[in-house]
Amino acid sequence: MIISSSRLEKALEASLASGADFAEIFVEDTYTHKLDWADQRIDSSLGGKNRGAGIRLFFGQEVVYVTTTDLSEEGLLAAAGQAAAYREGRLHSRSVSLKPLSYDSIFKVGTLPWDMSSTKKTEYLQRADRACRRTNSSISQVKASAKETVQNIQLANSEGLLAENSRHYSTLLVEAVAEDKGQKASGHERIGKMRSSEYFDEVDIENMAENCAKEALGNLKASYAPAGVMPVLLANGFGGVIFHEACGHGLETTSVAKNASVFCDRLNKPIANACVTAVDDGRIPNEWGSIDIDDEGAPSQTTTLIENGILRSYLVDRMGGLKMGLNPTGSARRESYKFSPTSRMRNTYIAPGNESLENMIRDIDYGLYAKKMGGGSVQPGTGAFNFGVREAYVIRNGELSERVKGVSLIGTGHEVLKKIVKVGNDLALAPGLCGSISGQVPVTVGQPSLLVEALTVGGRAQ
Amino acid sequence: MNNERFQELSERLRKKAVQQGLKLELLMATSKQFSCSYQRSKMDRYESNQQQCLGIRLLRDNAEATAFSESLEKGDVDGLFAGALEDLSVANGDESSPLLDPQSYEPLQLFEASISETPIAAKKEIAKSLDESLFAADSRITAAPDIGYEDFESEISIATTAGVEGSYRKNGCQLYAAPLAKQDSQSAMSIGEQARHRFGDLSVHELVNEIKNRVLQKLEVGPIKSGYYDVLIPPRVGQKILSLFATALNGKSVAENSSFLGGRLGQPVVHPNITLRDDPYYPLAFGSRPFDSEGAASQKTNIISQGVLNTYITNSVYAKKLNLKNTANAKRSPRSSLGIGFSNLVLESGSHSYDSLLNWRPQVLVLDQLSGLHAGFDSVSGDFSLQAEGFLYGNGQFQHAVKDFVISGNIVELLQNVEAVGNDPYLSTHFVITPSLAAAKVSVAGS
Repeated sequence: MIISSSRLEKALEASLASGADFAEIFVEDTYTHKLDWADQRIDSSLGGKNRGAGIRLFFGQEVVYVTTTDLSEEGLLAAAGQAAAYREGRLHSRSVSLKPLSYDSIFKVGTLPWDMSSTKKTEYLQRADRACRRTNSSISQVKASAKETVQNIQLANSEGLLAENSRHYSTLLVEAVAEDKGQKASGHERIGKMRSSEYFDEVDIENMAENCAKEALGNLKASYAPAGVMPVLLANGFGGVIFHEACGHGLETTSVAKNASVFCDRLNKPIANACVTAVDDGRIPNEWGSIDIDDEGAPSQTTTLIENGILRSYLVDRMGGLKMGLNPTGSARRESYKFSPTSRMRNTYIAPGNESLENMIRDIDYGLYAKKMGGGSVQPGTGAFNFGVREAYVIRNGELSERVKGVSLIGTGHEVLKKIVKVGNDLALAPGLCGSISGQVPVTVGQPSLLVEALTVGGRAQ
Repeated sequence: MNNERFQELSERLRKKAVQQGLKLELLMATSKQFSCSYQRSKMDRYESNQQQCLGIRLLRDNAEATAFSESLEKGDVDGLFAGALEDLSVANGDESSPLLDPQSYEPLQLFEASISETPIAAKKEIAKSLDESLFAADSRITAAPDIGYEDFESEISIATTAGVEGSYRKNGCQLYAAPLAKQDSQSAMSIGEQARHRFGDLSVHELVNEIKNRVLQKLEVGPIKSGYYDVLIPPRVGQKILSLFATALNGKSVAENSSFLGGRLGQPVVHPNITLRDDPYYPLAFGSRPFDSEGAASQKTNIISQGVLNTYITNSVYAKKLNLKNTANAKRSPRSSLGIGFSNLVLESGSHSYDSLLNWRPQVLVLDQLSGLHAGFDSVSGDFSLQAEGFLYGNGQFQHAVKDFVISGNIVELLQNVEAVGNDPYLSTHFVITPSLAAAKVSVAGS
């Protein structure tokens, strides 16, 4: 417990004095620790604590949000008073009695970051460095970082909810730079789970580092991708960033409720090819994007977004639900107390189909196999999305041909969903960080291999 | 957070560090933000944030560790010191990180009292006016997912065991809007912002006119074929292009062998039309400051002169490592370890008006928006592939808007092909200040 329930009750009652319909306090105490490696040594270390509270009030559909780092009774009452001052006038009196929420956690907590020595954490990074460099002498630089976060939250609202949750994240990143005759290229690998630090002992760090080095070496020799519209076969795992950008953000009530999504007014209507079923699942144990409860205290859910091409659900937070007359889906998230929560994704993936990757390649005369993706972005209002590709191959006559680099794939969400024509049987998930108006949150993207019959490939013009 | 509190903390921690034979730097940041947003005349969001964070850098011989805390309670502050001490055991720098000698700083007027003195009612009123004016501007504007008013103020304080001490305050305010327009089956978005130092200098009318014209013009869409185009980069887009290029000017990237400009000092790297400097004293710019994050007194640095690379930007650590002058570009927040960053990166203006650049070639592709910068740029090679939207001009006349295309290439080659520089520098909260740029032969992947 970060602060006492009686202090929370007093702050909620002070917030409600303005006549707000609803009041909520989100308290956070978060520890992070990160070691960065470069030039074959620890380059920097950073450990620290974020601690504060956000008070949110609803006046109908108007939202007031005030934050403070002063968690004393005086500090919270001052913040509550500042929030309540939004609506001047008669003082209202409402009492709040909080009742703790109990739930079964889907997480297993292990070694805490401060219980593992920095020396042991350094060893993980040393192993990554050695594995990268012994792959090839052209590897001229290896950077790596190990980061752990323990986010403790406490949430209370005027409906009497009192919830606590502890979230542990561990992530490892490796970047390799290959150099030859003045040319440079890079490779990247990342892993992450909602797990404590002992997770690093279960990771094949050497394999991860070797893959990173091979990506850099391959990009050194790769030619530039062609430009134009063509069939694109997207690899499984992080290839799911296409759905995340093309569709996921457009299904958040963050956009839909403002009439700023191409998927407005499309519930129970076809928005994708019939082979597409997509899910946003917050309940996968220990997965990077999972949560026990969301940042409004609602239990996390498994939400079917699209079923055989038909839109079945949006991702709904409390205010989005109020505006649209929908039930929340446990999707309210925020980076920290500094942000008001909005509906966001969790672990979002396209469900597997029946095709094999080999057959899908064989059926393409000329196109692109996008094997490894970078991130992307989208304008939900127009549906225009993009994502970067780190490793790709031209497909000619049903076979993988030359390796290419330096390419973005672009399209519009509502069009590309209808152009997914084949869905593979090899679902995989991959961790990422998603940025939006409620800050950066850990999410997982995922899919099996997918064939999109036409995407604009932003390579070099001939 | 007042200065007395920082003084008390810094005295206690400096004493603790000296007793243990350590060197210490404290950096404290306090900030406040206020924002409000209307949607169709109804208040949508009203937010007030206050933050504080204390960060320390602890040094012993060649080892350095960083820690931070938003809680200033004694137990938490002692905890951050202990955490940094533990990390010192594994840190093993190959260069020393000297704390600088005490410096004197040029007084800069960066804080404008009128913003905090403006009543909340007036701030709500301007946000409401922006919302109502935007939707009244044209019936084809149907939504504005991002729109509103915000203001921000911060105070930075630094103290070290070597005697450096300093602090400054700065603030600003801005209006922003991202309207969505629809006509038949076409939809378009555009983004506009207006940052000022005084509340009274904000103009809803000016912002609405600017973004209304751009977003409505984007509805008149036509095709674009793949090929090479002569491109006009307006300042708002030039900021993004130059921020990508700027990653290679960072001394840390050069030292780590991950800069595409490594080993190029004294050589022509971009077109002779381009002169770039880091300028912490640029009038009315939001990146201005009297000292950097190590407490080094600010200085102007000529980075590129007529296309020739003079220097990288450095802090004390990387100046020594690269055998260069310390350009006073140490950058960190209390929540980060010591790095390098720009104050205001200024591309010197040329003589061409924007209208004359529309006529620079028989066909000119004007870039209006670039997306996907975090994913479509390789900071090691300089290669880029970015989603874009823009307008095609023929003989200086608007032809149609274009969307769903990608510009690709290498950022150094693009800047080598800048054949003309505008006379229209643009100030916003972005660290880059640039006029329009006309670049030849940019690869476009169209539909």
